[in-house]
Amino acid sequence: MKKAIEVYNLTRKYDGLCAVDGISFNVEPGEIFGFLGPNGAGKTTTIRMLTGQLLPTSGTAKVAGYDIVRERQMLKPKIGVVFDSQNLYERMSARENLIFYARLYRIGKSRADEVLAQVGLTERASDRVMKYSNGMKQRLLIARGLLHQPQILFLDEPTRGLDAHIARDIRKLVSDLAIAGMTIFLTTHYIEEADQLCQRVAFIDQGKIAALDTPERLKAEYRQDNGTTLEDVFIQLTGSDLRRDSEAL
Amino acid sequence: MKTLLDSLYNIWIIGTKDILDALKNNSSRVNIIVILLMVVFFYWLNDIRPFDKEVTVVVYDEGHTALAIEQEKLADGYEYSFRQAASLQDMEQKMANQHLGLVLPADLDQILASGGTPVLDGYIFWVDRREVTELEVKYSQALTEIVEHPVQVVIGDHIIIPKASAGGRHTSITYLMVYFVFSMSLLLVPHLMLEERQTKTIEALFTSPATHGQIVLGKALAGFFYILIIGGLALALFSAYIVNWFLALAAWMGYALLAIGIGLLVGSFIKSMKQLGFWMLVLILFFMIPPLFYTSPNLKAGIRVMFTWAPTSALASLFRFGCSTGATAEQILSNLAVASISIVIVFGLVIWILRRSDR
Repeated sequence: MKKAIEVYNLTRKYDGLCAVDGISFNVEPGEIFGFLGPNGAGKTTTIRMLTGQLLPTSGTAKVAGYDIVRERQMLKPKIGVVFDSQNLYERMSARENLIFYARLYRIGKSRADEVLAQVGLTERASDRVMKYSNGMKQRLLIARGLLHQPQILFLDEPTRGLDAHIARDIRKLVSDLAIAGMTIFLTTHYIEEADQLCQRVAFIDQGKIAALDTPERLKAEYRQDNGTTLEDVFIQLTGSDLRRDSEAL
Repeated sequence: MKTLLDSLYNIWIIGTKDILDALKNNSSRVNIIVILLMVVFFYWLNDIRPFDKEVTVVVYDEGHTALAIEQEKLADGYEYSFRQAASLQDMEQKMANQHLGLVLPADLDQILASGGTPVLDGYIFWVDRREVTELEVKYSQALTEIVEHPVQVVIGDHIIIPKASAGGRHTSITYLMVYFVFSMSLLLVPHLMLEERQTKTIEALFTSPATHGQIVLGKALAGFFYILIIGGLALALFSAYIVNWFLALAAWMGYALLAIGIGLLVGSFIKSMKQLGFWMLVLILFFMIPPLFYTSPNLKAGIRVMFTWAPTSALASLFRFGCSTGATAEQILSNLAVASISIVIVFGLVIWILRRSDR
């Protein structure tokens, strides 16, 4: 079966510094794939390359069957992106934000109302986004990502800074989307969230993939005691520098 | 064809979004209103008709008549100042910024002696043809009062158009047009790009079906809308001065495109509002000073050459040619070429900077 995402030896350097260092992995269609790593590990750089915003220095990747360098324009309608920043037009209403993108994707305005209902924003759809809480903005970002019914949804820290109950709503929504057949590429700081949601996770550290497997297998492989969590594995695999730094202190 | 229509549609969508978004922005609305008021103010200041109750008349007395017109005379509540001209040509030259030229007929003395009403040929700069009749009545009544004898001033088609090489009011109007369009553009257009970058909404646009070129042109369309409000009003108010609409409109369109391109260029590379203030100062010096001084005879030759080749000076020349007569095809084409190349370079730079965001 054709992979949703195929990444081979992908590398990105900034002024000689290697932000992403020859990573390779595949994501299956309909899978929720977790891409986890400490700050500056290369998560956002990887997402930016896979969504056509940034050119790789070397290596190749195909997303939805399209090459991320040569077929960027064809790739765009196949993917949805929920950014780690709340990049919305604040003076416009939620509906106006979505209708703007709906027009760019050549889809009907009624779809904007559908996704607003899907994320529970119908009642506040006509309010200016500047009046929204963080949680509402995050839901609107997800609505924008879903607007054109993409094959693959990239979620960059979708629950960061949100209340627990809103974060849970968003996790439920992500889970439902995957059940409906959408491929989800998720980065998050919350390892427990990845453990709950993802079929497989990759740990990235200093631009390289430190481990990639199902949460269960990773926990089994790096087991320290009966209560080993995915977070323990994450710290074990990606916290070497932190430990070295603290020992040096 | 479908691709082209698709592109145009994307440009339209991005453009209309930016127009509506900016109209919801208080500072944009204030900027638009302030510049609109400035246009009206400068129009009033440059109005060809008398204001401040003063009218200057240049008189060419063909037959050296006995009619004595004092240098200054009050009539109809206006203070009329009279200057003598040695010939019709001299009168036209002296009229550069004056209100009325008057030719006293050679047989004026006889007409006055016979009790007839002399018909005086009136000359006037530019002026809207629709206003000629009103001015004829006004000046006839005033001169009747001044010479204490019925006289009739007939202007007809004597609307004087200055030569392209001459100075005068058309030069100041040309500069005002640069000033309005560039002020509007530098106040509003950089924000179109800067705000998208600061709020990172540009990243969402980059992942949408819109291309970098369509994003830039969509923003140019929004910028054009603002300039259309200001520049369109200015063009309408000063339309009486325009004698060649093709040149005037070409220059106006050039001002608009260059100003939008520069606005987008600044918005593409600056990082904050503070930087915007600095760059606006640099751009004002670079683009708005040359058209103000490039015709000045007091400039050193080297500086004059530099100023003349500034794109805003080239556009100012084109507009000036549109408000005057006698420009050569070579003058028109060379200025058109400088302006067009500059516009292409500026827009090319904006697209290049945006495309480099994926590097």
